[in-house]
Amino acid sequence: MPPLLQIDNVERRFGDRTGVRLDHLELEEGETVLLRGPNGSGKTTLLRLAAGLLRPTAGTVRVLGKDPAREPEVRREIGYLGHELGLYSELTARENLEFYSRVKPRGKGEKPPGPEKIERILDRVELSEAAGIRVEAFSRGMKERLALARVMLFDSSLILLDEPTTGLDQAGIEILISYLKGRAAAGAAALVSTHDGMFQETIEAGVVRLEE
Amino acid sequence: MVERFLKFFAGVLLLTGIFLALEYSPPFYDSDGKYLGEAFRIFFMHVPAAWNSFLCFLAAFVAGIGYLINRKPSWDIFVASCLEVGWVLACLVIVSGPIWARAAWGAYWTWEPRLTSFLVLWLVYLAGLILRGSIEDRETRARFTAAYAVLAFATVPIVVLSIHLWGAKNHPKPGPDFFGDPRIRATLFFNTFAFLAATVYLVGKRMKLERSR
Amino acid sequence: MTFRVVRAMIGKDLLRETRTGEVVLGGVGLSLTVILIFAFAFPAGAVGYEHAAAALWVAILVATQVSLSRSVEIERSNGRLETLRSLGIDPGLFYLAKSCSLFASMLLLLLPTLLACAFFFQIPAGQVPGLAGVVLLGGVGLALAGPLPVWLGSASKIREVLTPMLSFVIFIPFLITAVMASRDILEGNGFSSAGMTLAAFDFVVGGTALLLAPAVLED
Repeated sequence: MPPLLQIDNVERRFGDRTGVRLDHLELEEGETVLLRGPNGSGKTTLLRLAAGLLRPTAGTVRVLGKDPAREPEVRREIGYLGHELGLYSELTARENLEFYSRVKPRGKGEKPPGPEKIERILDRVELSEAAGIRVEAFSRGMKERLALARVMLFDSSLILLDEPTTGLDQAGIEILISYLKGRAAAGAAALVSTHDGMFQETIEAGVVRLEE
Repeated sequence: MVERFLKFFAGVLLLTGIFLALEYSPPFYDSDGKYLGEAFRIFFMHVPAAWNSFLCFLAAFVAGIGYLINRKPSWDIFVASCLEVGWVLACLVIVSGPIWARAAWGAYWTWEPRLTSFLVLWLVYLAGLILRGSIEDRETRARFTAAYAVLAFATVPIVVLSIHLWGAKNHPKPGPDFFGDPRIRATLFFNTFAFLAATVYLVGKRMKLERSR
Repeated sequence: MTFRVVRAMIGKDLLRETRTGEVVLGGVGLSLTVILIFAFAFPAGAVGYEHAAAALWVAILVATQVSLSRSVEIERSNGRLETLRSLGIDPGLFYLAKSCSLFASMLLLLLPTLLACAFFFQIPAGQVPGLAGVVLLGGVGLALAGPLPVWLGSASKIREVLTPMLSFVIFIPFLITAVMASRDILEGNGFSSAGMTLAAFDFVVGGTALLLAPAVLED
C-alpha cells in the first residue's frame, strides 16, 4: 500500500514569495508528526497542499498514491482542520455537524454519521450542553472543539490539523491527544502544526521543522 | 528576426492602408444614396479595429478554455496578451466612432444598439483587465483570467448581432449596396489585413514582455 | 449524491435565512425602493409598459446583486468553502447546490417585487402569470450564472468596486432580453422570440458558468 502521505521536493510560491519548500516527508500508518517552525515558514501552506486545497508550484504531493488536488475523491480519506474553522455562526453546534455529515461524499453503501454518532461526539468534546446554542455565542476554545468534532465525525485515515490547540484549555488538549492516539492505534496518520510546547511534550510524536 | 520583419511589414501595410483610405477609395453613399461625407473615411480604421478586436477576444476565449484544460503558463500569457491588445483595439473603435458620428449624425454619441452594446463590451473587457491586475497569486490570476475570457466572450455575439436583433437606427447596415464599389471593398479588406498584421505583432510583443517578468 | 447535497445546502441556507434574513430582506428592501422610485417618476397610465418592464428588471438586478454578494460571502468567509472542499465535495456540485439554494431564496425576493410592480403600474391581473413566467426564467439564469463573477471578483483586492463591474457580463444579456420579453407580455404579444432568447441564455450562459465553476472554486 502507498504511504498515507508522501511529499517530494515540493514548493509553493505566492507571486515572488516562497510560501513553503520541503524536500521530503512521508507518513506511514499509525504515525503522528508535528509540524513546527517560525511564523511564515509555511506550516499552513504545507497542510493545505497536503489536503489538496492548493496546487504546488513544483514537486509532488500524494495521498494514498493519489494527487489530492487533481483527484478530489481521495480527499474523502482526509480529515482537515484549517486555520479558519469553517463553522456557520448562525447555526447551532448540532446543526453544523448535521450539515457537514449530510454533504460529505460517501463511498458505495457507506452510512453517514447518524444522530447518535453526532451526540456521542458532541459529548466527547464536552459540548453536549451547548449543542443547541448558535455558534456565534461560542468562545474561541468552544469553536475549536466544535471544529475538532467535525473532524472526529468521519473516520479519516489522514488527519491534518492546523494549530488545533489555539484557544483550547487543558481539558480540550487532552481530548485532542486522546483522539489522535485512538486514530493512530486504528492505523491513521496525522500531521499537526503547533507552537504549543506543552502539547508537544505530552503527545510523543516525530517533529518536522520548517525553516524560513 | 521574425519580429523585426513583422514590425516592418505591418508598418508598410498600415501606411499603404492610410493612403488607400484617403486617396484611392471613392466617396461614400449609403443605401439611400445619401452622401456620407469625407469624415466617413475613418471607417477604414474603425471597422478593421473592431473586427480585429473581436478576433483577439475569440483567440482569448479559445486559449482560455485551453488553459483551463492544460494549465500551461504560456497559454495564460497568450490569453492575457490577446485581452489587452483586443481592448486597445476596442478603444480605437470607441474613440474613432464618435469623431465620425459627430460629422455624420451631428452628435458624438447616441444610445443606439450597436454603440450601447459595444460600450458594454468595452467595459466588460476593461473589468477583466482590472481583475487580472488586482490578483497577486500567479496561479489564481491565470485561472480567473481564463475563466473570465470565456465568460466575457458572450458579449461579442451580442455586439455583432445587435443591428439585426434590435434594428439599427443610425449605424450603417452592411448591405450589398454599401460594399458595391469594388474600390471601397478592396480598401476595407486591405486595411483589415494591415490591422491583422499589426495585431499579431502587438500580441507577440506583449507576450515577450510578459515572459521577461 | 447530487440531490442530497443540494437539499442539505437549501435546508442550511433557508435555516440561516430565517434567523438573519440577510440575503432576502436586504434585497426586497432595495427592489421595492427601485419600484417606488420608478412608479413615482413614471406614473401608471402616463407612460407605456416598457417603463414597467424596465422598473421590474432594474429592481430585480439591484436586489440580485446584493443577494449574490451576500450568498457568496457567507461561503467564502471563515474557511467554509475550504472546509467543504477538504471533505472532497466536487466544486462544480457545490456551485450547483449553491445556485439552487440561491434560487430558492430569490423566489422570496422575486414574488414581492413582481407584486409591487403589478400594483404600482396597474398591470392587468391576466398578464401577471405570464410576467411571472418571464421573471422565473430570468431568475433561473441569474441564480446559475450570477455567482460566478462574484467568485471571480472575490479574489481581487478591490472586490467591492470590481464585483458589480464583473457582474455586468452576466447581467447585460439577461437584462436586455428579459426587459424585451416582459414588454412583449405586457403589450399582449404573449411569449415572444425575446422570451425564447432568454431561455436560450439560461441554457448557454448558465451552462457555461456551471462548466467554469470548478476551475474558479479550486482555491
